[in-house]
Amino acid sequence: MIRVGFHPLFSIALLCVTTAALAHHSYSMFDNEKDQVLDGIVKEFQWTNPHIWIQLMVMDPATGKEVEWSIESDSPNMLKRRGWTRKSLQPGDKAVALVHPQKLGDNITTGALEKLTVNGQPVGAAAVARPAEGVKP
Amino acid sequence: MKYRESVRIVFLGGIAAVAASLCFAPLFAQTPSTAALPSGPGSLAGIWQSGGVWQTSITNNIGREPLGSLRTPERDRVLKTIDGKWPPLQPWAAELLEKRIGLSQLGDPYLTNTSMCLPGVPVMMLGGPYPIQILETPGLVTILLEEQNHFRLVHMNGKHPEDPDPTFLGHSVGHWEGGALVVDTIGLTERTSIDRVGIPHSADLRLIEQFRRTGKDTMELVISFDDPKTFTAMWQAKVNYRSAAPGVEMTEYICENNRDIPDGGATSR
Repeated sequence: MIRVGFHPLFSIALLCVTTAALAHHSYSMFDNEKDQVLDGIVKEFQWTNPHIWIQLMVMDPATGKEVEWSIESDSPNMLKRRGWTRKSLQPGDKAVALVHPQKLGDNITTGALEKLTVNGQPVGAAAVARPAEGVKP
Repeated sequence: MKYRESVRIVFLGGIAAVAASLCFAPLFAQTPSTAALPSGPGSLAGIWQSGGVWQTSITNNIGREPLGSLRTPERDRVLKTIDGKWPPLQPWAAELLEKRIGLSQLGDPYLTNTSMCLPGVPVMMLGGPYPIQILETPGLVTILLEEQNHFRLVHMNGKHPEDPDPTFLGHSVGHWEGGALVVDTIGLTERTSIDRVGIPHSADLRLIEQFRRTGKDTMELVISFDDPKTFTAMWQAKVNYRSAAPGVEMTEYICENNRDIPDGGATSR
């Protein structure tokens, strides 16, 4: 199955997204104690409220088949203030995501985004040497 | 302590605080920061940010925000009183909250009104991280909520209707008191919760919100919860706001893709 643990791509500018400020709903549907690294190809980036979604195609080494993951993060409003844009991910991009998988359900392929690199680069606030828009230092 | 006693004590305490502030005002007036503190009509207009966003520095923007760790247990997310205590819940409300926390820990969180893209006054005012914009016009204070793009109307020196229909945002009247805007809201449907975990309330809930400037760029909001059916005493919670950075605008937030609830939100409106 997909490897759980620390991924070398996260070793340096591990970036990110803070999924943090919990708005809209509780994230307790996700197993936030469990980190799962997904290394795949972006199929679709939904820049929508109340949450953005990344559809990521990930190879499952156990079966040799591709699995489509749905990865949830904050709303565009919040992410935009941290430097994200609707073009931060494009179909075909290579993305490595650290997610917390959903707690309940069979064959879980949904997770909450904790950290992300796209084509090896950080996304959003971590990618720019200034405070995110809307943030007063 | 009986409920009505607590209301009386809160009320008398407020009078004492106002009296004390008047007595000592000349002393405080010596302090430049206090002297410059905006107060009264016109002091609240602007865009205000609560919650995690403004408290995030560039360093901890890489990683989890202080207020937002996904690993924070659901129990710790329950809104606490202004002095950090558990809200004084009636037995039925305590039982219901425990049930909601329990389900949440299993991975099946209670669907609050905001989870379903429905508004609610205390939760949207307290929770952040979305900004609010306060507009002050003659006879009316308007509070724009970026979250789900709702608005609240505060009728200055107005009166509540006799028997208001229960609504998500209620009916609000306001007045200025000692430099603070005091907003009184009734007519709130019990379909909302107090916080994002699921503190319940009844349709008798009355909110008294006190907005006051606390600094050049800061404002505090103290909300008093008055609902004897749900709480054994009146209690208060507080949130700090900071003015948004120059150039920040309120943005659209239309709940078009709510994939976390069974029907995608199609019937939740």
